[in-house]
Amino acid sequence: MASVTYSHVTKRFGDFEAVKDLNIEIADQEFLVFVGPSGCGKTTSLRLLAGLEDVSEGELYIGDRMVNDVAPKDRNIAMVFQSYALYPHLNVFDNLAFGLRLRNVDSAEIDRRVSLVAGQLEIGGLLRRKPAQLSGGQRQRVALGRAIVRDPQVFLMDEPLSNLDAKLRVQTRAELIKLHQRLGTTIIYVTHDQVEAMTMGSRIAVMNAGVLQQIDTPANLYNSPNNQFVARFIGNPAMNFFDARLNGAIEEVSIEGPGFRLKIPPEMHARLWQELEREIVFGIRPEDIYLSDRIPRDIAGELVEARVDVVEMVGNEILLYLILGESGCIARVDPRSKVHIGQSVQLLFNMAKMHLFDKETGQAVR
Amino acid sequence: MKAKKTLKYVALGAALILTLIVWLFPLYWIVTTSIKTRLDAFAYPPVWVFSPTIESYHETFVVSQSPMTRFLMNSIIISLGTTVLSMIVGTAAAYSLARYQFRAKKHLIFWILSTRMAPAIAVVLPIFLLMKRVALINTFPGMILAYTTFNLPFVVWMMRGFFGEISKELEEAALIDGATPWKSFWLVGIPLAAPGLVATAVFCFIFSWNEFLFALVLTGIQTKTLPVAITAFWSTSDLKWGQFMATAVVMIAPVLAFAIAVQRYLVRGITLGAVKG
Amino acid sequence: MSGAAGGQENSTATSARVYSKQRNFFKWAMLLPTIIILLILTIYPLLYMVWTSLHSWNLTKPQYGYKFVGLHNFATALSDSRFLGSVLTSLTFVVLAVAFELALGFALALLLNRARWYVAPMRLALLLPMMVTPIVVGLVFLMMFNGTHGVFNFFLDSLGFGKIPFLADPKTALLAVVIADVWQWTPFVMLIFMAGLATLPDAVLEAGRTDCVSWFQELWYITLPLLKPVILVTLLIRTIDAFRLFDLVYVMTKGGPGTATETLSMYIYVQGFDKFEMGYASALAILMLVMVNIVAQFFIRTIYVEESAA
Repeated sequence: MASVTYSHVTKRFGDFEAVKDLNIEIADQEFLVFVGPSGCGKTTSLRLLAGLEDVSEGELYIGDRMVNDVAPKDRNIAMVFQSYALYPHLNVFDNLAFGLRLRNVDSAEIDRRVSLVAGQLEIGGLLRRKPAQLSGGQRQRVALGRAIVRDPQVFLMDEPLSNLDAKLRVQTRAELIKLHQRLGTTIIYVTHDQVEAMTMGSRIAVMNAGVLQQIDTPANLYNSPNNQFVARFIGNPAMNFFDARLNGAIEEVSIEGPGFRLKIPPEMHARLWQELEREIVFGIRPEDIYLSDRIPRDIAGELVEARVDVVEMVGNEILLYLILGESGCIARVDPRSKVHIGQSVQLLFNMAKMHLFDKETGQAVR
Repeated sequence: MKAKKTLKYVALGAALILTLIVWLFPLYWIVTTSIKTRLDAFAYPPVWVFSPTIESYHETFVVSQSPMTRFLMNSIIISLGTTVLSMIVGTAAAYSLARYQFRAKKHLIFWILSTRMAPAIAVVLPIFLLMKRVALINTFPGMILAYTTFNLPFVVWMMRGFFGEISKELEEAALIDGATPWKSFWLVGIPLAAPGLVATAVFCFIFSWNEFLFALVLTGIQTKTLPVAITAFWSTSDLKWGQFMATAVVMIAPVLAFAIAVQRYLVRGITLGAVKG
Repeated sequence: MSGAAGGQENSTATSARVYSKQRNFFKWAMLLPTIIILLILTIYPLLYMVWTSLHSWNLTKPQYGYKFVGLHNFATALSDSRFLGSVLTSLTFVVLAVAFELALGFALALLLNRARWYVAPMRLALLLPMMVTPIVVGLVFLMMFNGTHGVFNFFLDSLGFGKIPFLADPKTALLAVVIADVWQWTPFVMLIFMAGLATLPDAVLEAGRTDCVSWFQELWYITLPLLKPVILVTLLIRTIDAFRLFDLVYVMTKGGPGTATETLSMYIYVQGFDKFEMGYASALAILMLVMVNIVAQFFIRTIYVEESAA
């Protein structure tokens, strides 16, 4: 069983808390992605699992075994580093065989396993070369191969794609997903790129300043972010936020913001009745804002006036930077729209997709 | 304008040639004197054109029972011995310091710097007295230990710098792959620090080979090294300049060869890396 | 193909020992030999020397034995004119040698601070003097400075200046040693300055070049200030090394004629290994250590301030 459990794990460097009370249960064969801005603690969490850092408080389990004070080599894990960390003084074959040799696997078996993995990753022809003679993509595959050949219970990956150029990155992403399906091993993956996280993970753990913000499937993170940080972090361009107040009267609950007043659909009234008069943050994603003259048939919502500030033609859509009252927002609209700078337009906010957050705590209001 | 430029080039050329002459002349003098006949060597006015001979080398090293060969061996044994000892002990310490936390790091740095700055005479006085007590004067182990006094901190300092330059990730990868901390050091740390190891070892050897005061005080007939032996030449007879220079050539040749080999690390080695070079 | 507890790999699990203990053991085991040797070869001798300095002890006169005299040796030293003279000689030597080495070394570094074909071979040629055994340097200069047969006098004589008995004349003897030291160590200074010049940020130099009219201005207002840390480090190293110089003096003059070239190192040697006055020599050595320490502290503080400001 190769599940992984973080139980109240805290990591301190001197006075600085890099990871605060982390609690996560990762199931066997899951592909879990840690994502967050730099310094959020995602790499530290990975390194704690690898045994490269000591846990300050709490317990770490691989399977049923508590591994707090177990050497990295005894945890049955393999890791792919951001810089690949290939042994420069050894050729590719020796790099791949390194771990096996240390464990006294006999050389016939080593040959077999290395050839197998090299074949799968298409690096068979490079076995006699040294890392310095390989391209970035090839090195990355050798790093992967070195991990695979050890047949570990858990794979750890620390931003393995960030050193590749954009095109190679997309390609390798797909390969990694296929690899996961083929190997069926638990993978713990760290990245700062939310697109990577969303496309690859079966579940994503969003972290900020050492604290786990939310751990959920990509869809849930996108549709139901637990707090403002997650809402802003996931999705590109980021969600638009407006300071507002929740107002209520018998028939109508509305959001009053600078320069607009939005009525909330009746289905949601009951839930929000407790929160009236509250200072909130109203969030809506750019893709849920439409130009009034191009509203898809099944979408309804509230209309708002705004002025166009910048028009970015991206090809398959247009990004409109708008000024609403005193705030700015971004909308993704149909590429055929004809708008120009300075123009006043009417926007439709799809209220079914709205998000509300407490102004002080940032927690979602549901 | 052109005249000014040409003048500039001429001046530059002259300065360069003058520099070369000044700094290479004594070396030239040593080498040529070593291949002159005894008469030529001591001739005044100096002989500029002469027929070379290796009689000085022959007399100094080849003639049976010539003590100089033994002194050469002594130098080799002692220099090698202290280099090996310092490198082994010092590199291990350097690795530990580079990769692990210690609370007393500042004290260590202070120690290293202070041995670098201490006057040799101040160090050799107590060492002489102490070695006398334990009968280590005029012994190889004694000399090797004495030289380790200044070689060891040097090795620790240099190798710590070199290990610091190796990315920790490689050793971490080894730890995950199956290595114990020791194996990670031996299979990854050492191979990657190899150029630094070689350079440091060469410097140790050179410092020990050239060292004079410790050898003067702590050696006797059995363990005398070349630097001490060569000064003896002067006091016995100042007419043996040819042999004298032949010994000098033998003394400096290996050093110069080694130095050229590690010239990349020269500034770093001599300044303890105080200046990035 | 999920890892079935990695059964195929032979386990290299550490026996009973827990990882943090294993690491701790490794960390200290690697360091311990050095610490032991350090204690035996550095700290213990130092303490022993302090102890000896508080005694009167002549090795050649065991009948007087080994007497505790407290700070008497130190008091004697401070009124010992030969000691004070040796300190002065050392200081004179340091000032002369370091000044020449820094000036010449810097000039050479400037000269070679360009990407020309001759720079690499010249650098190579110039690094040779540094590596020559100081004893050999002393001996060859001894030979060249010889009053009757030396090659320097040959040139002087041919040019009509007559011969100068360099090493026999108290007025020129120290200068001769200075020259030998300058010969050996100027290339060292040059190398450091070359390294320093090479790391000067191009952008700053170019910006300065547009402001300055002459090469001198550029040198004075831009290059030198930027090189301040390098200059200080070099000054520190050369000052301390010149102050503790022994080999050259021993071989060229043995401190003579008279005590004209008797540096502090030489005087301590005489007391310790010529007269075998261990107690007194130890006290002098301690005084020397104190002096070196003061100089070093001064420099290190200055360098530290510079680096913090940078």
